Amino acid sequence: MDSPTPSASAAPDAAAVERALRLARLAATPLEGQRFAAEFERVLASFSELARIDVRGVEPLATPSARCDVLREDVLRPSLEREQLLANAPQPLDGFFGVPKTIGGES
Amino acid sequence: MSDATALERVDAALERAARLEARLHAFLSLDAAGARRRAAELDAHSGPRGALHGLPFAVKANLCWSGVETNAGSALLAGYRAPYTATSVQRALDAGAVALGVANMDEFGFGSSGENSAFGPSRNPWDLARTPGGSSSGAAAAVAAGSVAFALGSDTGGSVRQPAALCGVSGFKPSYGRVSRYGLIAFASSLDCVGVLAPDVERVASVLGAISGADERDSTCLPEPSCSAPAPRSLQGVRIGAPREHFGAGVDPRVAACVRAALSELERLGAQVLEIDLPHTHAAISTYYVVASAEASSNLARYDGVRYGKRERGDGSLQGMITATRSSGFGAEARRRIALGSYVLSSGYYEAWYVQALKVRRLIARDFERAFERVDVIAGPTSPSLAFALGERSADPLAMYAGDALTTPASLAGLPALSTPCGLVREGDSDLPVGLQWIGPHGADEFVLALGAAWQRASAHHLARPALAQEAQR
Repeated sequence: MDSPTPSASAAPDAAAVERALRLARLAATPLEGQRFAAEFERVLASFSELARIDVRGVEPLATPSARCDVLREDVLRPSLEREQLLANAPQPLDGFFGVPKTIGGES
Repeated sequence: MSDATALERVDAALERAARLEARLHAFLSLDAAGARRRAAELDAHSGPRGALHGLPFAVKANLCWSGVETNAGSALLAGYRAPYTATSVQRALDAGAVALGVANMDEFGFGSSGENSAFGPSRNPWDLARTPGGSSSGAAAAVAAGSVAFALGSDTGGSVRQPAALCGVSGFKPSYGRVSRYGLIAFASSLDCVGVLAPDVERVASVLGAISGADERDSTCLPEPSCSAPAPRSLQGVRIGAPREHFGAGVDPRVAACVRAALSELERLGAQVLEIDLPHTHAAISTYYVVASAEASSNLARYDGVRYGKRERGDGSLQGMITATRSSGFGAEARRRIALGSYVLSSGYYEAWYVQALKVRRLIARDFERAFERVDVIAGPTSPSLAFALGERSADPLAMYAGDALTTPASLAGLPALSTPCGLVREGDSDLPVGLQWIGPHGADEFVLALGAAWQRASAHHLARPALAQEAQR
């Protein structure tokens, strides 16, 4: 079921592109999907040089920051008011963020 | 102009910005009433003056400014009014600067030409048919046109330096962590830096002095004091490394020649120019676009139509609403990068793409560490090309990405980097600026700015202004 062990030079197949779009919560018409897949393939092909670089013994560098695990004291601090936070919400609902009904009944 | 009141300066800037707006589209909004009110307050205040007293500035549209539409150039965030102000913007205001308006940009920072703004592209003051660069497109255009004294921008892979180069102004990306990212709408958190664009390096340095320094609201912000004003220094004996890879294939020979000429000038001023190698430069674009897209796909997951931004109903379900909102709200380049990021992070591809890119990222950082054992600073072109025509690269993402070849390495390594104008190249009927990029070791922000300032005291490239700016001053 899973794709074979990928190498960075492997071109993405249509199913993999569709999966990436689904994971990203992005929809595309079939025509857009095709165009997208072709573009995607071209972009990734141009990045395939990455796979040819010898990285044996090299640790990944996720951030240039020397700071990590920075914690502050676990005490309550003033923050934004509920009204301010809801001011930009597309559907404020009784002091909460409104979303389509997800459990039971009709939406 | 130095004797002018804050209100006189702000009025002049507003008049110029408004008059040029139809041609440049540098701004998404101007806050004339707020700027005048603030300027009048400054004039009425008799206490000590801030370092940026009365200076009108532009705020890139991804830096939160309380009560003002902060849409990051995206249709998805049209109408979003920030409920708080970014640390960098607040510190500039606290130092006496006056925010004039919101500067146009590529959506969420995704672009190198300004053409990915959902609200139309900005134009280059040197040639209105060309891009000002991006993603800080409006910020660079506004500074080059003389509408503002400086602009705050953001630089993830070159978004301050490249537009600064293409518009003939000075632009600085600090070391990662020197300026708080609090209130900067996130694109790629391990790369994003708030930066400064201004007509000259001294102004850049004074703004950086005001906005830098520790901020407990950004856990990656370094616990260091703000950057101090660079003491005047000489270029005598400074070892400048010129990377061979920054003058090679893909670099416009006219740009390379202009930068070589600048290096010769620096040698005449006492600097020592040494050829160096940064052998992984060729992999910087691939590395950057894998890492930055991965981080972007994660950061932009927050735009789901629930808490802010636009919402599309879709099929009426929660998932349908989220998918419809994102599919219609994001522009083409944003969708491409989010999908690319999801792909390289997804099961089965994570090691081959994302982790591999992070390992190459370390090799790029090591290249710099080795180079700085031999030289004090690295210098080369900022952008491999001159300002290109609007529309020339917008249909070809790879051509657009290629423009970031020389700015992304310092971003990946978190190093301070400055672009300063170093000459003009005639193309057709236009004189187009070329930028010289200075890259320093991590934390050497003041040193890099001191060198740039020293060069500008001894040269005149930074004084060149587009005809449009001179016309606007009459």
